[in-house]
Amino acid sequence: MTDSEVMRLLAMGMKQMPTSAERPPERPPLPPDQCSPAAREVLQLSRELAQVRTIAFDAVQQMSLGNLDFELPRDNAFFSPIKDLQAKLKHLVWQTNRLAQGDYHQQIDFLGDFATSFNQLIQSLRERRSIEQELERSNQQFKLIAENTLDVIWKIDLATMRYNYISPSVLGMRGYTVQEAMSQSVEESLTPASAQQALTTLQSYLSKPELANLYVCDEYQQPCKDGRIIDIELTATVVFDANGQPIEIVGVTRDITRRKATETALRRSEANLAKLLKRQTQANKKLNRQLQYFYDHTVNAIAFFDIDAHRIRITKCNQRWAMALGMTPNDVENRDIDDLIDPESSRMYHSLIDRAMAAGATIQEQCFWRGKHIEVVLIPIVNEQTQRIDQGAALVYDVSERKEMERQLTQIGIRIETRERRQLAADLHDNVGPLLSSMNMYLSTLARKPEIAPHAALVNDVRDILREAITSVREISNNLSPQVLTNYGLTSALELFFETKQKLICIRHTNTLGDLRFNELKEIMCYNIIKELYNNTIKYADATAIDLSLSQCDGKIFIQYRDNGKGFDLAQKMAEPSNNLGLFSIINRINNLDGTYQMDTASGQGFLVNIEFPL
Amino acid sequence: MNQPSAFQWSQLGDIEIGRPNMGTQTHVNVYRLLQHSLRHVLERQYGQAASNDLFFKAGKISGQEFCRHNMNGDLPFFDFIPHLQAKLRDLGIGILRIEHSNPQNFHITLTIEEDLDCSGTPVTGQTLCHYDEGFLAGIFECYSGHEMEARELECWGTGSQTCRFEIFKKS
Repeated sequence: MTDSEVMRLLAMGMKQMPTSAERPPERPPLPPDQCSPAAREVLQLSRELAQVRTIAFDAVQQMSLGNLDFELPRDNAFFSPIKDLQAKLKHLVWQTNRLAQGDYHQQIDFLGDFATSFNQLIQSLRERRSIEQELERSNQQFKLIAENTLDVIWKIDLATMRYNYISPSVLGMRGYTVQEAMSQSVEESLTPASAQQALTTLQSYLSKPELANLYVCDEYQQPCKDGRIIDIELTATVVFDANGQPIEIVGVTRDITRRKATETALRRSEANLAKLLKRQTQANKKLNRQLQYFYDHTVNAIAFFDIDAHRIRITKCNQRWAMALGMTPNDVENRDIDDLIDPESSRMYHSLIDRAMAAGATIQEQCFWRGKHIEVVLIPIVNEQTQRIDQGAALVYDVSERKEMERQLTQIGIRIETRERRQLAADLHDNVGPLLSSMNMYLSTLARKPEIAPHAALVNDVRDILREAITSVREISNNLSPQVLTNYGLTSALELFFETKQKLICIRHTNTLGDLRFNELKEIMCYNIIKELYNNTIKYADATAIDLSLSQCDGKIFIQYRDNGKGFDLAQKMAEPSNNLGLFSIINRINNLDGTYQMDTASGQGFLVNIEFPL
Repeated sequence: MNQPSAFQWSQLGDIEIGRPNMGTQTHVNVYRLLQHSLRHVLERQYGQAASNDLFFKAGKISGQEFCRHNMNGDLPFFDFIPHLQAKLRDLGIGILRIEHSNPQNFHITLTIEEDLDCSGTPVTGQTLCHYDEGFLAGIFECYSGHEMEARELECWGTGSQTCRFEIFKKS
């Protein structure tokens, strides 16, 4: 074969190469001596090119058939795009498999428009799955609610007017199973009146398109399987299709029987309450009127006040209270009590309030204020919210007149008592005493007779008893009305009194009054006060010593009495007047002397009292 | 398993402090200059096979440390793959695509397009990405807890425009 024949053959083969789908025929090897070396090299290259073309063709064909598991020769960049395509397609297959497994995270960034479409497809699948998941979650929630709520959820197909869904809670509410309830018509599931009411409502609803998607809520009655009729609250809406045609009613039914019963009971209760309230209001009004009348016309002074720390602010007071200060209620109200009254009176109020707050209870106390005896009733008021005392009320009334009458009565009583004591003492001294003395004389005479001698011992015993009786009568007479006090005054009477008591207790008696005499009644009361103090010490104090001091200065008598006994709780004793007559007798006598006193004692600390009264 | 490496992540330094103006990026040429010059020296010194082995071992340490410090190894396999894809893309290492995967035995065939080490290099008839082999083996070794092997099947050096690797448990 010549070079020109080789070239012609080569041209023919190359002409077929781009268009033929067939494999080029195997060519027999050429004899080396029939062409030039150059032609031979060209022919060899053409054979290799045909081989590469065949491999590439086969590869593309394999890929078009869906077979990606082929290998292309290495070290030949000509196959590079095919390999690249093979790799991408393999990756695409892997991604598609992952997609089939539900892995929607796949994205591709090759193959041009296909990548865009593929990624859009993935995005659609992702959105769809999200919607499906949301729908599934929603369904699960609906199922959970429908199956666990006490309310009954239902749907009615408007074409057939039959229920097409009823939730299982119908069993609990009406006693019917879902199947039983579904088998009932809408009319059967309601009482006749309610069925008529429901039908009317539905017709009205459907005739007004503007009501679409609005919920209707109304009360109906439903029959139960056991024959009971229950009250229900029905909330429903009509569902429309895409063409605006009503297709279903969806609703929820709630058993409100108990609520209705409660409402009825509540209404009844409210009516009763209103009646009671009206009655109470009337009673309150009447009471208020009465209280207001009392408040305005009472002779007592009444005031209400706020207590804030150490401030006492008058919030309201009646005319009497204001008058006592020479003011009107308007002048007084909303002002601090410290700005209204003198410091001494202010201290008195603060003291009373402090004690009432400490006691947490009403206290009543007599005071001497501006020349008058007053009695103050102090009522602490507890704030209901804070449970603290932050308000108070004070009721003050003038007891001067009463006190004066009491004083006069007491003095009359004392005078009578003194007179009677004196009479009794005189009778004992002048009558019983001489009689006993005469008996003693006669008994002495009798004792000297010989025939009585055998009974001398007995007679002596009788005489001893008689002498004791004479002494006792003398002492009783003296105690009832000490003659010494009447005849020689207080100093002598006390000396005589304590003379016989020294053997019982150590008495240190200091008296600078000397022969001072003053009002007889006052002397007697003073004597009796000291005697009562002494009796208390002996009876209760377990004391070993008494210190008594009497003096006078500026027209006043001062007495100081002290023992070293066991003392007592003064506040506790003062709170129990009925059990401590001795103590109150002393206080009463001091008051009758127009005197004042100051007691100081505590458990284990002895007793001290300072008394002063005008001559 | 390899012996514990003396390499420590802290040796990379605090780049934010160290390069407040230059930042964390550099040119690919700089990276390749380092790798190819190093390869040149190693091949001269120890021969081609030893050089390839050294690159593989270095890559494996890098892959393990990279995974330990940059990846969430607690993710399930099919969540770990997109996580790895995103990391490799974000750091400019290459575009990872999976051709085949079996999470049970960790047999994976994957391709790296626009590979940092070799993309665009001339055809030499030999695979070039021994460092990448080690890097990928190290990542999956750290993730799986198994000793892994990686082999490059196709490379720019062998005339392919995409590097293909096969990764599998070392028997």
